[in-house]
Amino acid sequence: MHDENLHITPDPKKGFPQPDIPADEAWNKMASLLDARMPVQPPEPPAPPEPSSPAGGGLFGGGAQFWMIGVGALVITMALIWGVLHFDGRPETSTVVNDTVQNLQGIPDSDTLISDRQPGSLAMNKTGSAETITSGDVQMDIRENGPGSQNRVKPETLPQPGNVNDNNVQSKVVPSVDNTTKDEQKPAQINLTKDTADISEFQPEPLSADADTIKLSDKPVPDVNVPDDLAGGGISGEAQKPEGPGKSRTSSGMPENLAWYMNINGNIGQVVQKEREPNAFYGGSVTAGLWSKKLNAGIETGLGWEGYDDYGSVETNIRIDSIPADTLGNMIYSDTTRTEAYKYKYQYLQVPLFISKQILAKGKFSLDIKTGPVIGIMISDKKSLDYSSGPDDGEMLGTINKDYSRLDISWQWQVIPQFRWNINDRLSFTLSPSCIFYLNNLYDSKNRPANAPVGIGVYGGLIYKFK
Amino acid sequence: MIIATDSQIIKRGSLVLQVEDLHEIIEGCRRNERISQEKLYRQFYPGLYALCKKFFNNNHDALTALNDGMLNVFKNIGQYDPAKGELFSWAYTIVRNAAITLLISRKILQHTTEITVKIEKSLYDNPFKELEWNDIYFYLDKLPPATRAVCTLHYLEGFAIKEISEQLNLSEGTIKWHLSESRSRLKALFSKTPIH
Repeated sequence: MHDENLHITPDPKKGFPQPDIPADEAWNKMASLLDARMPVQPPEPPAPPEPSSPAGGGLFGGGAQFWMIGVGALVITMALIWGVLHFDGRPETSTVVNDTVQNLQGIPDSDTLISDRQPGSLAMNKTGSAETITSGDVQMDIRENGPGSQNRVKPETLPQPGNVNDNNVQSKVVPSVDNTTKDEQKPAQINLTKDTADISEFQPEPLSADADTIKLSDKPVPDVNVPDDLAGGGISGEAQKPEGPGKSRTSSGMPENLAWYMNINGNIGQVVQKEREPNAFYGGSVTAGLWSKKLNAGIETGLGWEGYDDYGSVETNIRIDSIPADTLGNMIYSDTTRTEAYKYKYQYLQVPLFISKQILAKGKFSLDIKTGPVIGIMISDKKSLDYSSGPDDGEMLGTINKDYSRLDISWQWQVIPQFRWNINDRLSFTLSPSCIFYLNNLYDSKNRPANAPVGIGVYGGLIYKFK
Repeated sequence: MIIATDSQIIKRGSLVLQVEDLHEIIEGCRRNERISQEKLYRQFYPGLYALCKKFFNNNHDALTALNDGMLNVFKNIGQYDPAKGELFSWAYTIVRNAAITLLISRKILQHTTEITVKIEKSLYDNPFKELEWNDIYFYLDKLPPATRAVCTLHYLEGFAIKEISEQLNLSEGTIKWHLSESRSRLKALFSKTPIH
């Protein structure tokens, strides 16, 4: 009877005994098993990312999008450089100079050099070579060509006349005074020199009769201290200002060749790593620094906050046993991978120590190189499950851990070419690409990616200079 | 063989699915839709539970075997070809395989006793021939697990000794010993406990 296959399959239409376990209870267990082994997918599930990059992308997105933004930033940077190097328009200050000079030309001498002068302090020695003329706050160095020279003033230079006014002018004027009578005086030739203006044809009205009170001497021409607001340049504003024999100080007691400044900026960027997707970072900082007008360099420190995105994953090889539907008894095995991907958000408190050096200045634009160490102190980390795939149970064959541990303290070294546009004497706008080297690797040596991370980003902010 | 009495039968009535409904359920199961899987599971549950109960005394083991088998049904339902047979028969075979696998994994079939003598013809007589479901379960529960499995496969599921030997990875002599053992035990039981 049973020597051949006569397997019995009961007729489902005939009926079966009442199961000892209710159908509801049995289905609940079956549903749990199905949820574990055959999870229901969303209606239109997004394609899961590659296991090697389960949660990367960052603020800029990954791949082509990131590089498009990077190329865009590079184009903007190159345009700024081109603008600096080809800045041939006359700066605003040159117009002011001309206007001022023209005003000077149209003003009688008595109103400019004489009216406020104190006769007692102004004496002309017709045989002298040079003398400082003081008229109120006006100081002029007048050099006489020699005995017999005409009483003609030929100023050679006037520094930064942009803000010249009656009460706040210190000008270095080297006139040639002919040994002639005052009636024979000729208009002086005043050469105004500034980095953007050179006026050589300025011939003011002859000095009035009061000019004969100017005392000329052969004393050497002293250097002239030029106020800051007459000087050009960015933070320092000292570019063409000669130093006096003694260090002058500002009203606050700060040496005049030093200036405090404050820098407020924000930054965005990405941590890039070979064989990993880039991770975004973003933040802001407030720094204060001291700028040396003499060295065209500065040092600054402050406090910043930085947020980092990151990701990790754990891939587990699972072996599941199953029985084929059309064979009997033989156990077959299927190996699969269970992936659990995580997202991280880290927050760091950052303390930078930057030194800066101005390497290029043209008009209102300047280029600094800023570099220095930054210490980052982790203040919070948040881990969340991004997604998981694969069976929850089965025989575990092996695990690939790509879930890395970050260090609590991160030492960085940043190199920042800083493009600065001086809005006015005090305020500047900056845009700075940055390169960040993570000196101790962002991750713990016991659990870190194979390749070292590097950061690239952009700073943007404002610099305010205190007098 | 009398399958069951009226009081023991779950009247399938409205549970019997129409062909159109079954087609939709199969398609839903192929899309891994829970509602379709539940309909199919509830449809086949009584028959498949009865099958598994033949192999296991423990209800939990029976349900485990059933659910393992149904999981394979749902996983492989894409391979089901209606032209080769009814879906219930296909599922029944899969669940039976799952029950056998569970038996093997429990290592309850290890036995070294064999019968090398010529098989008596009486060995082929089905002791469950005239029994109802409750009586079948009653007597099966009196058998050792391995003997119960062999007895079930041979007398209730219609498997040949050679097939059982291959499935359970036991020698034919061992299978014969289990069958002989089951008959001896059942004969004693029949004499002590009259059939209801």
